[in-house]
Amino acid sequence: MSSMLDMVAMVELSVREKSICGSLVAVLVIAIAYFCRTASWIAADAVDPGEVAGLSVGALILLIAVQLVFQGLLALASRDDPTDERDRLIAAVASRNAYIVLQVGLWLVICHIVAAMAMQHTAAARWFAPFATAQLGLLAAIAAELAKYCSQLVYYRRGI
Amino acid sequence: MAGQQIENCIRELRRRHGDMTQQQLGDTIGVTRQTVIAIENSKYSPSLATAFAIAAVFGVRVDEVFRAPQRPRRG
Repeated sequence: MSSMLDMVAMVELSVREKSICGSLVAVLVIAIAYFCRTASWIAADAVDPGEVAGLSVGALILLIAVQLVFQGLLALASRDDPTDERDRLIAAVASRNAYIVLQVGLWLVICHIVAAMAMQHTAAARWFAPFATAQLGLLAAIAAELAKYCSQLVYYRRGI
Repeated sequence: MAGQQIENCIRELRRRHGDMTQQQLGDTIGVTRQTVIAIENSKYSPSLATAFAIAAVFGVRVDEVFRAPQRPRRG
């Protein structure tokens, strides 16, 4: 009986893993919707500051609302979920991985700014405008966050 | 990282100590049940403090609970 319970415990997701999964899905879905929209504006060379501000604020509010509802329901449905040394180690190593992704993103932004100088008078100039650079920076930050969530899930499942 | 975990006999020691549950062991040493599961399955190497706490719960030495993984010999 004891070993059966042990096996069940191995496949079930802990509260923390469910929380990370929820955050991962929320950020991924909202980020995809956001970047598809901004990319379409850049492609059409029709970037309107008012629309950009509206979309950014809307995406942020939606993300906060989804997170509040999901994490709140999870907290209500679950018992107390304390953290221990393993959770802290996993969070630290996942943050290190996220930092690497952020570093790569930062270098891409720098390359993008340098490339923008060469692309000023070409047909592709709109993809190197300051708005596009800002989107690339935001993408790097979100990619780093996603890398952190994915790393945590992998370390919880495969071990650390 | 996951390939260099130390091995242990915590599951066997729990059985010998009145079928102690993972939750009971976790509560005693101050970690979650998930962490006890991860240690038992060699998916996480505990800190020295936790390793000593586990050994103390079962009244044995640390090296009686944990042992280094067997490394394949070269040549």
